[in-house]
Amino acid sequence: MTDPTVEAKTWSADERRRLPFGFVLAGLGFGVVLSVVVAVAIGTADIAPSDAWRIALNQLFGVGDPSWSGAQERIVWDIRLPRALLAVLVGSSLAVSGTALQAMVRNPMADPTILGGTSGAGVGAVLVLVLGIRIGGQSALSLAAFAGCLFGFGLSFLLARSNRRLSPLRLVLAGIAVSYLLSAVTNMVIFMSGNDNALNSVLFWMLGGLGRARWDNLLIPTVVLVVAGATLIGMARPINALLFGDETAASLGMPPDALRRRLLVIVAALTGVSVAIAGGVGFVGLVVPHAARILTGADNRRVLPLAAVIGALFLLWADVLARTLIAPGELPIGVITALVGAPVFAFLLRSSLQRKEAG
Amino acid sequence: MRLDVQGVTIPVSAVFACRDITFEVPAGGVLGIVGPNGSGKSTLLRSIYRVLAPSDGTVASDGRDIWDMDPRELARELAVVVQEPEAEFDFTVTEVVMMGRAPHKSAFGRNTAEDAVYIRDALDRVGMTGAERRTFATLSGGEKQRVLIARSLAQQARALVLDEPTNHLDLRYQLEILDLIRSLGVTAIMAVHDINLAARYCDAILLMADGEVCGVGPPEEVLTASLVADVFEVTVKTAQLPDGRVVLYFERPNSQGQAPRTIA
Repeated sequence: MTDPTVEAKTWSADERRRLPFGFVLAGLGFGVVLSVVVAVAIGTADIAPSDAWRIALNQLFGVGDPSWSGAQERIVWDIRLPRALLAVLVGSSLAVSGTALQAMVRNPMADPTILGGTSGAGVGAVLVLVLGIRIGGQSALSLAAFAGCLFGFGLSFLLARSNRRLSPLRLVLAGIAVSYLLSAVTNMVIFMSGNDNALNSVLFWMLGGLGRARWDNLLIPTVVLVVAGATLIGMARPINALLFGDETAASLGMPPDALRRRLLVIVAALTGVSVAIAGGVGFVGLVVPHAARILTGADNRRVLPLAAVIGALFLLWADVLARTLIAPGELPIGVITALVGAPVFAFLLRSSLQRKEAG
Repeated sequence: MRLDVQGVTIPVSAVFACRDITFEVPAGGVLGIVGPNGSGKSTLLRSIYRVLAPSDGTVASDGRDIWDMDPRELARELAVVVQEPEAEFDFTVTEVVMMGRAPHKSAFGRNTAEDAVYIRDALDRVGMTGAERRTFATLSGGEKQRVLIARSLAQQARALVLDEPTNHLDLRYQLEILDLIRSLGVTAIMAVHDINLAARYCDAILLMADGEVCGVGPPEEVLTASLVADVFEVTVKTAQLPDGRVVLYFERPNSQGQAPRTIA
């Protein structure tokens, strides 16, 4: 049975042309390393890039003779390098979260912020801070943010659910409502706690910032990113199956409800831990997965690792801009990600509507 | 693969439930499920591919209750072709068919040369060779249906469940798809809207109404003018084609003798 139309059409228009995936991933991965090196050398303090790198090499491998001041060493080693690495961790975590969420709800406009996870995590973290719970440094904060994130996602899903079905539009609307609500709760808790620095706290939980990067804060995000990221890549085929629909996923031996529950916990861990240390950075999870898909198509076995790398790059450079644009002042990093992300969101919305009208 | 459905009852809701449905499909047999909208066809199919658990009764594949099987194990035996509302993610034809290999893969298992052979073979059997790199969304309805069937072939399942495989297809594609399904030699269970097509392409027919079986057996025994008239609440007339086959055609019960309304 050969369909003559199959031969007759020319495919060039709708065929996907791609660069070799390994090449792209390795190239961008190298780009991340390079960007960390460059980012460490950029800053307001008067430190020559060459000195910055020698300080880092000296600390890492004990090579080179110190010809720099103690202050310079502290700025590079204790502030800039952990900050660049945190950008990598948070960028990757949020990008991977967004990728998994978009597949989970079959909606290209989903991300941890839009579905209420980020603001939920903020509530959890702020409660821990206000109650003064100080156990194991970052761990109480991360745990509370994780729980809050689960709560935020859960609330959005419950609100959007009718008849056991999740309508994509309702989900986005419910998520936005939950987002505003939980942000308001966070802000209320902050102002009621009599925090002297309330406005700064509000800004941090709404727009994020990497200023809290310290070496001992990096452990939890690293472990969570490695474990959750690897788990998600291992689940890439089931995640693909969800994109085809629940019946299809079930018929391929992957019960969709159980799969979604697992994904939700993993995504909440990634998002919660990121928010606990970097605040409410938006739009990374929304925009980066699309960039990855443009480069490699829809298969999540490739999209997930690629999104991780692109997310790292995106947040690294967003942070460089955030700390240099109004130097010596610092913009919240969420301002930069929103400046890039919001237009992309608008574009996605438009093309998605056009597709619906055309289809 | 032989499929036994024994007394399956599904209380989804009072209206669309299935009640005490029993039939069997021998290995390689093609069963068509026919019935009006809301008669429980899709519900019954969903219980066969393990999405809905029956409150009573069993569904067995080669004698084994499918609920005693691991979902992935069943997925290696039984494939499903349903068109679901598409999400806006551009998978290529190859990637769609590759999903059929998923039940055979471990979490970090890579796609092998062997998988590539299955995929090439599957696309060849449905006549979609050459479309590997097209995105699924750009295919026509008939092409999509064929790619989904190719996925089930890559799945190497010995049984196929299809929900309205000819829905939204042009006449020619309807015939092509049904010819294709017949030519695969696998056990097939499909809900079919068109009664004459069902009669022509199926070995047996399960006629359903209000979640119950109204008849099961060879097409000529089940799809009789009187039974179809009863179940679908229409007037049925028969005509014999030159080749001897009998086809049914339908009118509204109270429109006998009236000239068909012209649509302009």
